[in-house]
Amino acid sequence: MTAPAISVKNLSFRYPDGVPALEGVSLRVAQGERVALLGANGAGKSTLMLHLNGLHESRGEVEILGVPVLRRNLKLVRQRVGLVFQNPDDQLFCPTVFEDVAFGPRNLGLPESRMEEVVTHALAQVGLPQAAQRSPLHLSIGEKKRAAMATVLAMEAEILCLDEPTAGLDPRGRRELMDLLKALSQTLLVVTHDLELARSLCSRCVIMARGKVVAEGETSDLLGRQELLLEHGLA
Amino acid sequence: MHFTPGHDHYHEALETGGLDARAKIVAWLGLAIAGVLTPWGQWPVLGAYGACWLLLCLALAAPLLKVLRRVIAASPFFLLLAVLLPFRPLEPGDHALALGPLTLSAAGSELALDMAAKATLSVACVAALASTESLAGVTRGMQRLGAPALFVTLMNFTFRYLLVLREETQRMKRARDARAFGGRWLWHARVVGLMIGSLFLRSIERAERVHQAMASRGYSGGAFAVSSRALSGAEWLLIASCLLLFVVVRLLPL
Ligand SMILES: Nc1ncnc2c1ncn2[C@@H]1O[C@H](COP(=O)(O)OP(=O)(O)OP(=O)(O)O)[C@@H](O)[C@H]1O
Ligand SMILES: [Mg+2]
Repeated sequence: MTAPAISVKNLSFRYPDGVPALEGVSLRVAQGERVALLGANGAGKSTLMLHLNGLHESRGEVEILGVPVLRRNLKLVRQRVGLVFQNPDDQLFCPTVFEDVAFGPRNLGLPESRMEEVVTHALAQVGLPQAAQRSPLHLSIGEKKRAAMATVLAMEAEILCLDEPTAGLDPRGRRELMDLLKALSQTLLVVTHDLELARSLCSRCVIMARGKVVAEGETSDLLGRQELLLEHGLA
Repeated sequence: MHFTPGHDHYHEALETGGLDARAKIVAWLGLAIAGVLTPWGQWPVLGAYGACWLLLCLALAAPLLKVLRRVIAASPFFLLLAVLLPFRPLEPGDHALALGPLTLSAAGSELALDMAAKATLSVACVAALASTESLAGVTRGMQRLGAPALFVTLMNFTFRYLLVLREETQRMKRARDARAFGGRWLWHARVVGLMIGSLFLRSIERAERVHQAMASRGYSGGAFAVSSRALSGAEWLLIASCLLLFVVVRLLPL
């Protein structure tokens, strides 16, 4: 049996100010699977995402492709899981978009001779082919979102975790992103409020509320249960 | 040092076959150091270094006007100190200069001029470097030149978090002004005070998230990863001729 791409067991986490953000979360995503993570604002989705990259330490078990997320494995884990943050301003920090997209590959030791090609390809994938020499500060929010996506695509991680990838995109951008995601072979975990996206992209959905997983199942089944969606602020 | 958003001088330089940051750093910092090391009172040597500065600017196609404007903008900060020196008490061997109702120390005045000249030259060198190379390029260049990793990291983070601070300030100002901020000064002062407090909190939290985002893309502390290439013939030529020029100027019987 192959190891699941993502395996979270009984994960609990409190922010330093005492806010309990996760309370006994368990989650399993098989390799190659596409899963949507749904839930109202403040449910703990973003917090869970950060754990998949070992950015918070807490009680419980997180494994990526069978490798426990522990301090000594962080390098490997971060190489395998590409995280697109909810707020693109947190993700983009270089003087130019080119530098930002090149940051991850450089850390992974990609030779400079291939950088141009990798960066150009990633930017083309997200529909920003002209932006390489622009400053991320001066992009529009949707453009920032795409650039942030490119920074992670360029790393060619096996697992992609996207925090609200379509938020702020125009309809065409959203459709293009959906097409792009459908064409990817990577394992996907997508946080979203966009039920349409979940329906067309993901075979399975997980719903979180107040730090817990409250429902999970086949997308077609779960998203058909109107009372469930209403209860968790999704409809 | 300046930073032009949206413009990566470094890549542009590479693409247009321009010079590597390392060569420029050695040339400009070399000149600044040569200037500062000039013994007291050797005005012709300092003058010659000034000429070297102009020569280098022309050779590297630095935008002269822009650089000079920057030097002038920065001058109050470093000239302020020099202004006070002539007023120091007379020491044995010194003599007084009369300037209207004021009595100045001659030695103090010369020292002031010397300091002002050297400071101006150093600032002019740094300003010229900054106008021919992006800050990111300079830090990468320093790193490749073997500057201590701690120094380079510090420079990178200072730069990074200054940007965060600037961005947060802009956003808060915009949010404030959008809600029709204005009116009496006491209210104004209170709002500005609150803004400064929350600016620091927000900046710290954002800095933390920025660090998380960097970590998630494989950054594990230490200097940023840079790629290196061998210096070209032209770059070695620039470095060698600059260093030679600076030494010769110093040794000439000017
Ligand atoms: N840095 C922080 N410090 C303290 N509490 C936090 C912090 N970040 C988030 N929280 C709290 O943790 C809980 C979960 O937050 P999280 O960001 O994971 O929610 P989310 O499901 O991503 O929501 P959204 O849909 O709005 O993005 C919320 O109650 C939030 O207030
Ligand atoms: Mg969130």
